[in-house]
Amino acid sequence: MSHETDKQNEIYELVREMRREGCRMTRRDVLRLGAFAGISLAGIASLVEACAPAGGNQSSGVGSSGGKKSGPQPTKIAGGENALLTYWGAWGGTALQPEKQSIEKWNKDHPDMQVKALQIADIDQKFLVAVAGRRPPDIIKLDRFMLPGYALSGAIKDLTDRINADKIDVKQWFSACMNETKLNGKYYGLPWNTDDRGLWYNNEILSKAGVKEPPKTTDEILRMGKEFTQKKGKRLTRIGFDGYGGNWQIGWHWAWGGEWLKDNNRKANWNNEIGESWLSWLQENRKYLGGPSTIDAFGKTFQGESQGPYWTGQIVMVMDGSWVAGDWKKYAQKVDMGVADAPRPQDMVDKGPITWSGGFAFCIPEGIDDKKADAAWEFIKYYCMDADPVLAMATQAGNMPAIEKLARDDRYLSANKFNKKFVDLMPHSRFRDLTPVGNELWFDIIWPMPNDVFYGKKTVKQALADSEAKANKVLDRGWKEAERG
Amino acid sequence: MAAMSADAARKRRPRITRRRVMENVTGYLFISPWIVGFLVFTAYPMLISIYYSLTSYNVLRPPEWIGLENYHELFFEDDRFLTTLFNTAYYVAFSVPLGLVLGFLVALLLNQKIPFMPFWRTVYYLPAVTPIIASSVLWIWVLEPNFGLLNRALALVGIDGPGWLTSPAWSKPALIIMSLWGVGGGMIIYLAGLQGIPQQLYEAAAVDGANSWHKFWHITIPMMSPVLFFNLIIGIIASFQTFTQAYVMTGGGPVDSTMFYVLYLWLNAFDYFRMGYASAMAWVLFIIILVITLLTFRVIAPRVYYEFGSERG
Repeated sequence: MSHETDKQNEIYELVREMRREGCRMTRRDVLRLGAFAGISLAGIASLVEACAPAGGNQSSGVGSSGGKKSGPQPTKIAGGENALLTYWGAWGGTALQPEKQSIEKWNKDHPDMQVKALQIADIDQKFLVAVAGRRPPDIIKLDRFMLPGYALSGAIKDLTDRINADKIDVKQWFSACMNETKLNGKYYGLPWNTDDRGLWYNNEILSKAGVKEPPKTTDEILRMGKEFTQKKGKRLTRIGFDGYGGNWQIGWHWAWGGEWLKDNNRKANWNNEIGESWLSWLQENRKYLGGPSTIDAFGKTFQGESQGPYWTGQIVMVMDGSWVAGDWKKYAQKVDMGVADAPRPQDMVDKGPITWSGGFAFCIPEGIDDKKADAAWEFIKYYCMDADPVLAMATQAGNMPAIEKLARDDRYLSANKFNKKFVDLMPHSRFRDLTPVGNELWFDIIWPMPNDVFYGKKTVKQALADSEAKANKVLDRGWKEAERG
Repeated sequence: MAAMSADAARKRRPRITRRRVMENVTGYLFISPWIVGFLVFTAYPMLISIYYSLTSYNVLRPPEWIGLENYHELFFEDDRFLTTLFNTAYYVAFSVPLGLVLGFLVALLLNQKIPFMPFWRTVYYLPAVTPIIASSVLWIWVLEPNFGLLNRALALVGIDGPGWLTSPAWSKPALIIMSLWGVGGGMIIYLAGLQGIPQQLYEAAAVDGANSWHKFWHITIPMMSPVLFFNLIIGIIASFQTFTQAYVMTGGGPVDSTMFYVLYLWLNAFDYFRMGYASAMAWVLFIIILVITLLTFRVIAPRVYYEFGSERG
C-alpha cells in the first residue's frame, strides 16, 4: 500500500469521525488535515463531504477541489483484479485490517467466489450512477437507514426468499438492527454492525463534587448540568451537561415517550406536548450555557485524542455513542469515566432504558446475474454472520456486532470495559423510522430543527409546527414517488 | 431586391470544389474532439435538463412527467428558495462591489514603480491560484472565534470579535471578507489594463496642468472602464454561483444563514436525489443571472468608454 493511500485512509477515518461528531473540528483535526493537504488535495475534498449539509450528514458529494482530481479514487484493499465479485464500501482506518484479513481468508477458501473489496468515497452518489448505468457492484455495504430509498427504487434485491431458504433465524440479530433492513415485510440486507448511545460522564468531577450516581431524570441532569457549568466572563470554560452535543439529538423525543412518525411512517408526529416538553427543556440547557454561539465557540477550542473534551472535563456529561469507548481505551484509560442510561422524565423512568442505533448492512444490487448473486449471498452470509469476520471487526475496530450472541461473546466484552453496558442497552434500542426520504427527513428537517429555537429565530411551538408541516410535505412526496413503482 | 442579393451572394460564395469539401471535412475532423465533447458533455446535458426540470426524476427510476410542478413548488411552497435567494443576493451585493474596488486599488498600488514589484504581485496573486477548498479550510481557522487570527487582531485594538461562522448574523459577512482575500484574480486583469493605457495621454494631461486626481478621474477611469465592466459582469455571474466556501466551511449553517442558492441546488440533486427539482432550480438561476446581466449591460454599458470601434466594442 502506498503512502498516499495510507494518508487517504486516515483522512477517511477523520471524516467519518467528523460526521458522527456533527462536523465539529478540533484544532488537532486541522493540523492533521493541513499536513495532508500537500500530499493529497483529494483528501481535503473528502473533508468537504463530511461537513456537507448542516453537520453530521451521512451522505456526501464530490468536492470541486480545483485540483486535478475531483474526488478520491476507489482504493482496493483486498482481492485480485479478476475476482468474480466486487464489493463496494470497505472501510479504512482501524477497520482496514480486519476487513482485509477476513476477505483474504474468504478468497483463500473460495477460489471460485473471489471478492475484490474497494473503498469508495461518495458511495451513495456513485452507487446511484452505477445502478442507473446498469453496472452495479455485486455487493454493497450501505447505511441501514438509507435502505428504503434504494429498495423502493429497485436498486437492491429483496433477500427474504434467500433468508427463508437457508433457514436463517432473523431473531439472532438485535431487533433494532434486523428491523432496520425490513420494509413491507421483506428484508433487503443483512445487518453487519451496530452502535448505541448512553450518558457518558466524567466520574472524577462528579465524585469530587460528592455526586455518587449520575442523574437518572431529565430534571436532575438539567439542574446538575447547570451546577457543573463554569464560565469566565462570557466564555465557557466547562459544560456541565451538553444536551444537544455528542450524537444523540433525536433520542430525546423517544426518551420522553414520543414517536417521530405515525400512520405507517407516512406522517410526522412531533408537534405535540411531548415535542414541546423536550424542546423547552433543551432550550433551558442551551440558555444557561450561554446560547449556541457561545457553545460553538467553546467547542472550537476542543483538542483531540488524549486532550479530548470528555477526558479533560471540558464536558462533564453528554449523550454519546458506544464508539467513544474505543477512544477512551486508546487515549484516556487513566480518566475515570462512566456510562449510564439516558436520563428520562420522572414519569418515564420506570419504563426502562432507552437508546437508539444505527449501522450498516450488506446488500445485493439489482442487475447482476444469478451466478454472481448466489456467490454474493454466500459471501455476505459469511461476512455478517460468521464469528471470525464479525469479531475481528468488533475487537480491532470497536464495531459492536449486530448479532446478539456475538455481541455477548467474551472476546468482545473483554475488549473494553464499557462494551457490556452498551450491549445490555441494545434490546431497548430504537432506530430511525424507515422512509424513502431518510436523508432529507433526519438530517435536514429533524436534526437541525432545535437550532431555530436555540438561535431565537422561532418559538418552541413554531419550530415544531413548521418542521412538522415541512416533514409531512416531504413524506407525502417521497412515499408517492416511491409507490409509483 | 431578393434577386439582387441572391446574385451578390452567388458572386461572393466560392465555388464548391471537391478539394474545398475535403478541406472542410479535415477541418471539422481536427476540431471534432472539442465539438463532440461540447455536444455530449455540455449541450446535451443542458438541453435535457430542461426536460428533466418538468419531471420527477431520482436517477434510479425513469423520469415521470409532472409539468410545471417543480417550478410551482419552488415559487410557492419552498420557503427555503427565498432564504437561499436572499443569502445569495446579499453575498453578491457586497462581495462584488467590494471586490471590484479593492482589486482595482491593489492594482493601482502595484502599478507604481516600487522595489521588488514582481514579488508583491506574486504575493497578491497567490490566493487566487490557491485551490478554494484549501483556502476555505484555512479560513475556518482565521475566522475561529477564540484564537483565530482575525479576532486576535481585533482584540489587539480592543474589539471583542464576533463568532463569525458560528453566528447567523456574521456568517455572511465572514464569507464576504474571505472572498476579498481572492481579489488578486481581478487585480491581474486590472494590471494588464493599466499597462495598456498609453503614457502620452498622461504626458499630454500633465502639460495641460492636470494633477494626479484629474489624471486618475479623466484618463485612468475611462480607459479602464471596459476592464472594470468586464470584471463586474464576471463577478456577478460567479458570485451568484458561489458554493464551495459555504459547502466546506459552514454546510449552509448556522440556521441556513449561508445556505446559498447553488448549495441548496446541490443538496436537492445529490443528497435528496431530486434531479428534476434541481434542474428546475438551475434554470431559474440561469434566468435570474441572465436578467441581471442584461440589466447591468443596459445601465452600465453606455457609460463604458471604448477607444476603438463602435460603442459596444
